[in-house]
Formats: sequence, structure tokens, C-alpha cells
Amino acid sequence: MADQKTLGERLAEHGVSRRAFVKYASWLGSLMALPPATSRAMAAELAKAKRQSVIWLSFQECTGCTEAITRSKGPTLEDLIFDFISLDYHHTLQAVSGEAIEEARHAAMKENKGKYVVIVDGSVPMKDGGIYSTTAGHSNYDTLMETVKDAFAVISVGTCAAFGGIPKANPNPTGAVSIGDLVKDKPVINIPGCPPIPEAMTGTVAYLLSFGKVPELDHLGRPKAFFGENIHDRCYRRPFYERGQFARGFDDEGARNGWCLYEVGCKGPTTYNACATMKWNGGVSFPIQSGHGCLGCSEPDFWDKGGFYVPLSASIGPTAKLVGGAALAGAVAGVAAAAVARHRKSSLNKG
Amino acid sequence: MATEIVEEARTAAAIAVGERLARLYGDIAERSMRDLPVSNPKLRVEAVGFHDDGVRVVGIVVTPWFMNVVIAASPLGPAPVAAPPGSTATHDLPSGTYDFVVGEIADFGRLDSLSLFSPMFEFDDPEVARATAEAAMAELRRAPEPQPPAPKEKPVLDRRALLFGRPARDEAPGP
Repeated sequence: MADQKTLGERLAEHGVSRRAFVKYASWLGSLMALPPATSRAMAAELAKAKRQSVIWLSFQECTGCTEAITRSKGPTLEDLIFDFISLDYHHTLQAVSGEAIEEARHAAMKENKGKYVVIVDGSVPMKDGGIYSTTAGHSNYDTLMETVKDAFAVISVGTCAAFGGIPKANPNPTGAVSIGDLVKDKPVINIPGCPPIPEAMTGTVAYLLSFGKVPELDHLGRPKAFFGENIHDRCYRRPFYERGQFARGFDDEGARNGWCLYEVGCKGPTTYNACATMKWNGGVSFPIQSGHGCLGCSEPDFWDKGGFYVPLSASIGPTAKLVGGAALAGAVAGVAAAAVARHRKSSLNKG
Repeated sequence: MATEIVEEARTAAAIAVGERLARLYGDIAERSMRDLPVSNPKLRVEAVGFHDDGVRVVGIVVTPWFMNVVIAASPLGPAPVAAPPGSTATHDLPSGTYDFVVGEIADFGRLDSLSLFSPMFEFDDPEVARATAEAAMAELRRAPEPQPPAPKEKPVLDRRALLFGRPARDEAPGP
């Protein structure tokens, strides 16, 4: 249950100094491209915040998202975030079971009415009355709608919760839908990925906790701080692409030399995520660095986009063409401005 | 007078850098890219808006498979700070700060790139691609509107206004 101590007080109990905490907040702020003054404000707000009640619902999923979030490099403050939030319900991590845990969920909802955050991983089956996934005798749909009723915000972690993911893949036998398809009256933040980058999950939670509001999102509901640029544009192998140096197989000279993986199906150009910059396992590596193309796992319907080893081509690229003629000047100005703005660091981020 | 001559020399050198890059990428287009589906056969290689900004050469390279803002050392300027290929180099331009990917081209040397479009499936007309590159360069060279000074670090800090330029103080948290 949420207690009355502030995060700052709890940190002190854990032997974490204020300085270490400010440093952590600055790091988190830099990940989210916040200006330094805002990062310091974030540290101050975070230290003052009460433990946030979080209810974590798992539906049609593989528990990979939970695996990812629990395996962020420790012991860092990310791990301690789990001491700061009050995780009142989580199938994999909870100690109690049965009636007791369902009671705990109801108690958390009542006690923190309008303030708790619901994190969901997994999609919701809608076919045949939702019988394909149930907990405590209730369909996922019923559990979701009951739980989000008095929530402050909902975070869909993983591609299944954000976009339907693998359960929704053709032929979608369970009629799986995303959380955003069902929850329309609350802010829903999507943190897709299969699984998502742990810091994208903890960073978004910390942002919500410190500022009490939803970070800036893209057209698919993803925080722009983590999903603003595509993998291809920031890939360390990008210079090979520009020079026309491509691996044609996973055992050829190009693959051995670390050339671009476009021709073996890399989906980097159409995938928006922070893998190329933040990387995984505490910044050690990411799929392309390990020699495999990007699967595009943080994009809707990535499972059904023509095969992981089929190169992207014009037929699966954007269909809207920029055409010439009278409207040219206006059209290209907008498109060019958007292309530039995608990469511009916040002018507040300097200094 | 002397300044003008130097200025002219720098501009000519920058344009020459653009032409050289266009030649090199033209060779790559012929040699390696021609039959690849990622290459858009309707487009051509062009160097757009190459200029010397006083320190280095900035321009846009348009090819059938990408459109990049590129930064190279000016033949008349200082050498760039060394960085390994594939790493990130942060550059200030009049419109803001951008992270470029450090690269190298044979017979040229260090070239930092910022991707605008890649691949180039949006385009089917070289004139449109060129016009887009020109518009992007104009956008990059446009200084932003002056911003009000950042508020001091105090609890009264209006984060909403600071972050998003919205005067949303005293609103209920969240939408």
C-alpha cells in the first residue's frame, strides 16, 4: 500500500544521497531531452512525491516486458524506483495470490481513487466473449475496464498492449485488440517494443510521478523523448548504407565487416525507437550491433509486414508521394520543416 | 576588400566540396546501388545549398537512396575534432542543435551526416527532391524566434510553459 513518506525520505532510508538522486534525475532528464533546469526541478519534485500506487495488469502477453523492466542494470536508482512506486498488483511479482490479491487491487483503487497509474502488458481478446484470457474468473476486458475506471493514466507497455502485437498477428484467433482501442476516456501512453527498452518504461513512470502529467506523445501515443527518431537515421552502420555497402547474407564478407543490414531485411528505416542511441543492457549493444537487422518490433503489426528477412522496398514504404506542380512550394516546405524538426534537439536543452 | 576575397574563396571551396561529393555518390550510385530496390531510379544525385558557415562546409546531398544534411571540414578551415566512424557528433546550426552520425568516404575523408529522408520512396521527381532539399536548407539556416529568458530555478517554475510553451499554469494535472 502507498505510505505517507516522501520518496526523498525513503531514499535517505536506503542510503541514497540527495546528490546521487539529482544525478539520477539529470541522467533521466537527458534521456528525455529535458533542459538541465527542468531535470533539477524533476529531482526536486520526485523527492517530494508520495509513493505512486501502480496496478500492473497482464493480459495476452509472454512476461517479456516484465523481464525487461526488472533486468535494468542494477543496482541503480531505476531498481529503487520499485521502492518508490507502490506496486499494488502484479501477477508475476506479487507474493500473495487468490482472493487476497484481488482484494489488494480493489483496496488500492479505492484508497488512491483518481491518482493511481495502471500499467498494462498484453492485448485483450474480444472474440467469443473474451474467454481466451481470464483472471479470477473475469475476462481481461472486464478487469481492464473496472481497473482503469478511477485511474489517473494508463501506460501500455510492450507492443501487445500498445498495438495488439503478436496475439493480434494474422489470423488473430482471439480477436486481440490494444488497450488504446478500449480505453478512450483516460490518457493512454504507449511504450511499445518487444520488449520495450527498460529505461523508456521507468523514465516515463518517473516523468508521470514528478510532473503529474503525460509527456509529449507522437501520433501513435508514444513518448517523443524515446520514439522521436528512427533506428536507421541514428544507426552506427548508417555510413555503410550511404556508401552502398550491404551484407547480402549473414555469413558473407559484408556481414563480417559490419556493413548495413538493409538487404537482409533490417526494418530500421521504418522503426521509431531509441535502440540505436540508448541501446540495451545498460548501453552495451542492440540488435544491429549484434549482427541482426531490426525487426521493427515497436511499430504496429510488425509481425505481418512481409517477413523479417525481406528487404524494405517501395511497395511497403510510404505510399503518399510528393508530387510536383502548383502546390509544390508549400508542400515541400512543410515536409522539409518536419524532416528537420524531427532531429532538432530542444533549444532549451542547451547549456 | 581582403575579407571579401576570403569570403569568395570560401564559398567557391564549399561549392567545390559539394560537387566532389556529388561525383563520389554518383559513382556509388552507378557501381553499387543501381539494381537495388532501395534505390529510387527516378531520382539523381545532387549537391544542394553547399556553403561555408565560417567554420566548416554545410550542404545537403540528395541521392536516389537518401537525402542528408552533411558537414565537412572546410579546405580553408580547421580540422574537425576526431571521432570514430559511427559515433555521434553534435553540431550547432542557426536553427538549433543536431546530432550527426560520423562517417568517412573513400577519396574524401570525414563526413558527418544528418538524415532527412531515407530511403527516398516519398519522391518520384528529382525536381521535387531538389526543392525539398532547398526548403530544408532554408529551414536549417533560419534562426528561431528569440525566446524569453528561462525562469530561475524555484518551485514557482512553470514547467508547462518552459517545456511546451503553453501558458497552462494552474490547470489540473494531465488531460
